[in-house]
Amino acid sequence: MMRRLALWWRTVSARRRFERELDAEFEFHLHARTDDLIGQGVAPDQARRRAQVELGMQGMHRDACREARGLVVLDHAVRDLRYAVRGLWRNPGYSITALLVLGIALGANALLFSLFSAYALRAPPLADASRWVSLEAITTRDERMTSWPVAEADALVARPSAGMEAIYAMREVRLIVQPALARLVGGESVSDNYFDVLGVAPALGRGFTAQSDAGAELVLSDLGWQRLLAGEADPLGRTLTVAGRAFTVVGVMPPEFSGTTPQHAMYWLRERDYRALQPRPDGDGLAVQLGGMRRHDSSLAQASAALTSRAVAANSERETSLRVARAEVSTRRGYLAQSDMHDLVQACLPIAFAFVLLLLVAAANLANLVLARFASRQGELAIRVAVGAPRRRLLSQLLTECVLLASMAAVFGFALASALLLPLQAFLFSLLGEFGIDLIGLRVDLGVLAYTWVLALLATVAFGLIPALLATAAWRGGRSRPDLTAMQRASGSRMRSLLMVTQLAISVMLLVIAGLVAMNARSVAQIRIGFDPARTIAVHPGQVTPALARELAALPQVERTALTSRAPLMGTPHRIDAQVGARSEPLFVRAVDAAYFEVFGIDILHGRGFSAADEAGANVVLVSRRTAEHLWPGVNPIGQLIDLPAQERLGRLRSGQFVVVGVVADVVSAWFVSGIDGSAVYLPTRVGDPAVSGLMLRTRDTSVATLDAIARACTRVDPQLSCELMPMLLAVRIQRLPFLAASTLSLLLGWIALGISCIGLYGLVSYLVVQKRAEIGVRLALGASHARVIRHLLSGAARQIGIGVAIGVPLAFAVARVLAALSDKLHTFDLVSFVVIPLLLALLALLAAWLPARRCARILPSEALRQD
Amino acid sequence: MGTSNLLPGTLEMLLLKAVSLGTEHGYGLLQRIQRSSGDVLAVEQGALYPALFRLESQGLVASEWGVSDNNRKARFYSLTRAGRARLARDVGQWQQLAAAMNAVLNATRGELPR
Repeated sequence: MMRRLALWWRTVSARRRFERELDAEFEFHLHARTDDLIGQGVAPDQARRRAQVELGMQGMHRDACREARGLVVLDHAVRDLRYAVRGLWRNPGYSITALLVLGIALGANALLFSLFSAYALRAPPLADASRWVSLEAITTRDERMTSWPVAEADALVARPSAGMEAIYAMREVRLIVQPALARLVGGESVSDNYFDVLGVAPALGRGFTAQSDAGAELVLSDLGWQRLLAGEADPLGRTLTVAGRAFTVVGVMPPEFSGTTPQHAMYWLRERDYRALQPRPDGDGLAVQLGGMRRHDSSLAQASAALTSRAVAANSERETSLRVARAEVSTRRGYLAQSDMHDLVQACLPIAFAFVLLLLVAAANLANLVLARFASRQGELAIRVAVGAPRRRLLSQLLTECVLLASMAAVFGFALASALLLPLQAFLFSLLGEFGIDLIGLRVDLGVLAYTWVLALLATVAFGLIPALLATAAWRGGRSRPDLTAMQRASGSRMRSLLMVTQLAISVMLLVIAGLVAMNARSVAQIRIGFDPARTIAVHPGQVTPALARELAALPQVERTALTSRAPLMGTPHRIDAQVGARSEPLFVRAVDAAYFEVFGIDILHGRGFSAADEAGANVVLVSRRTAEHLWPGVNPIGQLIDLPAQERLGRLRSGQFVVVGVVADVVSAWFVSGIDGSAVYLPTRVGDPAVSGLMLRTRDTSVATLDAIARACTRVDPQLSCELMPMLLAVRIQRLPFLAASTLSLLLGWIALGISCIGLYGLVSYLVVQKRAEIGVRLALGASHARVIRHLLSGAARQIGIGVAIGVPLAFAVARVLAALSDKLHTFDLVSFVVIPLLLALLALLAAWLPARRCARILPSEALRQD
Repeated sequence: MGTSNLLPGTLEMLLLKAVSLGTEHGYGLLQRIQRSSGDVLAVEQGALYPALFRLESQGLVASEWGVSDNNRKARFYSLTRAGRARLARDVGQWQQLAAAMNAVLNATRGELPR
């Protein structure tokens, strides 16, 4: 602050010197010329006058000198700014309305941008982020693979491909960590060189070293230190049990380093320790991601070519579908890899579009206000032109006010976004947190501020320039007498009506679409799933052993256990092309035991359920009601036959001919959006069947203590089991979350748009009312009743609202049709959205216009007239 | 002999030339131009200073306050290195232009190439 003051003072004082010297120079010229003229015989008093005449118009020349120094522009800017501040200060209603309208829209946009910037633009604090790259492969089927087989990854880490300085391997893991409550905690399993390659240093202790003398080691993130060790003063050397094995904490990373993915890692462990924990560390073939640092002297193309030849050479080890056509080394800019970035942009685009529309509403709104304000200043503008101001100066003056407003609105919007960011984040991320996934936090930073600012300035051009051009149009082409028709046009209301109608129409459209989205999302969220998810927990240990099933069934918290090949609501079941009679039908098949239907409360509608004998391997199936109606319409399904062929990839399910012994109720077991399962076929199974991957537990409750007891039981049976626990209610909520978020977000957006429109209408009518005080006064003095004056003021607003709604509703309908083309599940008509919402909006808008109109009609005519 | 107004855009070049003859104040520069043109070229006195300010902003001349012959405080202008280079370039261009103009104006029918 002191430095800025000093700079300002230097400028001002230098400015004084400049003026002093300018005076002195002209004075010297006059003296020298006068002396010369006297020398030529001119009388002294005449000489001075002639010198002055010869020098010409001094004021003009001085201005030219100032202009040569670039001072004039500055002078004008400072004067305009001062003028704008005074103008805004004197019209607080106008200023506050404009600030609110633009600030709210800017705040909303800043929020969205901060989300985008947090994951896509902000990079982890690396020593040299410009050379940070990710290694990806494109298969012969043109699919992009971000992960690599363990063996290939090991080879690349040990001996980097040409053009790469170093390569690290990393995979995201979720393991049960104790002594904190036994629950899954997210972290990263990394190659020994991870921290060194990235160039990040721990805040406490050390990172990983290549020597493998010591036991299993763990590095905590700052957040992990708080969560897993409760922030204890001396974390180094402490022991944590990860997936049943003791790990020693050797370091803590600084708070700003949370790993290299959007997931905030709580800990890092070494890849070789991780493999010791897992029976099948290679999973489905592609397990680890590769990243690294490019060499200074090598281009991305060179590095990609070298990596391609290495990857292609290893193709013989890969499954056919995973063979590599080429590999790509690409620069990483943020927490998202190239392919994720693509997804994020796609997800954000419609939202961004809506937010930009919101900004447009705000800009149209402001343009309206500004137009009214400028129109009321015609007299003042005329005076300024009369004393010699060119149109350019008028424009710059009017625009300065708009820029000042926009800047203030940008600051306000930024502050708003900062204040709302944490609650928004808590709302969006709370469920993921319960699931053991913590995303890196959002933050508003200078980038967001700059973005807001740029947006504000763009909006200024939109809302300020057109009104300013219109207001000064009367003096186009440098005329000093105004063009009266242009003047009338500027003060006329046509442009204002047009703008008001535009923003009302957009608001109606936004709100109707928001209503539709919310309605659809709610209907998805409220869909009846057909089974009772309460007090049930899915346990996925990878493989269900008899010992594990016994141990879990013996827990006092567990009331009933069931087996399944795949838990409901956690992915689609196996899809098998079955033979039914002569037809081939794609069916969704799930292997379950008899208890499955009891645990979830799924009713057996016809026939019987599974018996113990069935579980032993009888060729019987149960089908859902919808499946039965689809496969055998009008025929008793009991006793019908289904042929399940042996599946190449999904060989774990039994094949053969099965007879239907019962029909069960329909359920939603895959995705909420897909609704009730199109088909559901249940095969009997039992412990020991390789098809079984999970246990379903009905428990007394799903409290943290219960989850902890189950996780501990898992590790008791086999310390290496990483039992993934998923309370079914949580699974339901996770599936609902996107729809809830979409409905909340769109409703919020719609209400903001409505709010902006109402604030704008309120502001506009109150401003007009103030401007028309004299007119109102005359009307009242001539005997008009208050009610009549109010009616007169409202009739204009009502017309605009009517037209806005009339345009907005069909527009919304058109957009809904476009949206419907994207998803066949979307209902495009809804009475509430298309009738109630527009009516409500019209009423609110009328109210917004009525409030200021009513206030002003109470003015005494004598007072109003005296003012002019 | 009457006076004639300057061709547009030539004031700066003339001023640079005048300054190149030695450090001088504004009024002195004006006199130098008028005298060396045999009082043919008339520089509008007021326009002199904005032109000098422009040259100074461009770094072609430098100024310093000093005392004139008759003991008054005056601002003295001198040529900078950049100014010298600009002058040489401008003079070169001017002479080329003048020679071309002369050639056109003196051309006779017989000399024109066919």
